[in-house]
Amino acid sequence: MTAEAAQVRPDVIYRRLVDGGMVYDSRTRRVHRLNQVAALIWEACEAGLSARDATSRLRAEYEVSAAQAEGDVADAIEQLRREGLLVEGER
Amino acid sequence: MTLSLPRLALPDGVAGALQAVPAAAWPDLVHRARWEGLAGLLYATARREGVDLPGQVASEMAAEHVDLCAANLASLGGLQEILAAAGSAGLEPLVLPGASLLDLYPDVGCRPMDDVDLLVRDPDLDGVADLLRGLGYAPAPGHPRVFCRSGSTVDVHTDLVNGARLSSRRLAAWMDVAEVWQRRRAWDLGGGQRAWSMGREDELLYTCAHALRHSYRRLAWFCDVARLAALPLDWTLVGAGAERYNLSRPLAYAGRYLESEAGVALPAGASAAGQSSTGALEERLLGRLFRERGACELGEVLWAFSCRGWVARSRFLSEFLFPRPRVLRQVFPRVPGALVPLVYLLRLGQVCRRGGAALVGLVKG
Repeated sequence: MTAEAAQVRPDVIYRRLVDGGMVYDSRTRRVHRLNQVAALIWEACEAGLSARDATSRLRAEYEVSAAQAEGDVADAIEQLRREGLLVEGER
Repeated sequence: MTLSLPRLALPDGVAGALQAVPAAAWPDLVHRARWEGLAGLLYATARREGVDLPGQVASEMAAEHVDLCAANLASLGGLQEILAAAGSAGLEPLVLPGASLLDLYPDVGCRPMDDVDLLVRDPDLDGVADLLRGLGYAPAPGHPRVFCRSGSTVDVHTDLVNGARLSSRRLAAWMDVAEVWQRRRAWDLGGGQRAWSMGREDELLYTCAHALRHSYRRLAWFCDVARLAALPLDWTLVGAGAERYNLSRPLAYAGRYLESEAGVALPAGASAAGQSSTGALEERLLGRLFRERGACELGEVLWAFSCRGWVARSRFLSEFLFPRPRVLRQVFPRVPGALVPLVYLLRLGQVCRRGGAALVGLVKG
C-alpha cells in the first residue's frame, strides 16, 4: 500500500447513488457499479486525497481496523486502476 | 395505510408515511410506483429514510434501481459523446428535460428516461443529424428526427411544443426558442463535459406543457414540476413566460393537481403565476383527466382551451384529430405509403371509438 494519489480519469462520469456509486467509462461505453466502500474511495480520489487519507475517511465512516481499511482501499484502487478508471497521480 | 405516491414529489414529503407502510402493502405500492415511473424514487427515498423494506421487495427494488441507474448513466454517457462532438463542430444543442432534471433527485436512478431530448436551432438540424449518424446513430423508421444506437434514443427537436408534428399547436401555446436560448443555463454533466439546458423557469413551463401533452400519464412528471417549483425560481419570470407563451393553463393545471389531488403544496409564487380561469366544460374534462390519469387521453383536447377564439380552437382540434399524412403514418406505421387515404379511415374509426368512450364518461361523470 502506497500513499501516492490515484486520480480519477477526467473523462469518466461518476454519480453517487443511495446504495454506493456508478461510473460510466466513455472509452468502453461501460457502466461500473461501486459498492458504498468503493464509492467512498472513489470520491476520496476525486477530491485528490491520498490513499492514506482515503483510509482515514473510510475508518471515520465505518468501524473497521486500520489494517482492514488499508486493505480495502488498496484493493479498490487496484481494481479501479485495472479497469482503467483511475490513473497514477503525481503526488 | 396507503401512501400517496405524489407525495414523493417533494424531498421531505414522505419521511413519516414511508415508515408507516405495513410490509403487506409494499408489493402493491411498488406496483403502482412502477406504473407511474416512480419506482426508483420510491426505492431511493425509502433507503435514504432508513425504511426497513420487506426482503423480497427490497431485493427486487434494488435490482430495478441499479438497472435504471445504469440505463440513465449510459444515456448521460451517450450525451457526453454527442455534446463533445457537437462542441467540436461548433454546434451547441440544449439538453431538454428529463436528462436535465436528473440532478433534482436523490440519485440518477430516480426518474426513468425513455430517450434524450435535444433542442437545436433550425439551421443546425442537418449538422446535428449528420453528427449523430457519424456517432453510429440511425434514424428511426418513420421518425426522421429520432435517432437510435444500441438501445439509446436521441430525439432532436427544433421547437418546444412539438409544433413540427402538430403545427396548429402554436395556436394554443408556444415557446420562443431564441428567448429560451438566451436564458439557458450551463451545468456539469461530468467527465469534463459542460451541458446547456433551459433555465429552470423555462423548464418548469416546458414540463407542465409536456405533461399535459401526454395526458399526465405518469406521476413522474408531476414530481418534476414539484421539484422544479421547490427551487428558488424567479416567479415573476415564470408568470411572464406563462403569459407570453400562453402556458398559464398547463401551469395552473399542474399546480392544481399537485395541490388538490396530491396534497403537495407549491410555493406561494407558483399559484400566483399559474392563475387561469376555467369554464364548466374545461373543469369537467380536467376533473376526468385527473381521475382517470393513465387511462384517459384528454390532454390534447384540453389544449384547445388555451386557443384564443373558436376559429383557433376548431383549427387546433381538427388538426389534432386528423393531422398531416406524415404524422398519421407514424400513428399507423404498418399502412403502406400507397394507401395513405386508408390512414384517415383508420383515424376516423379511432376517433369515433375514443370519442364515444369519452362522451359516455363525461355523461356518466
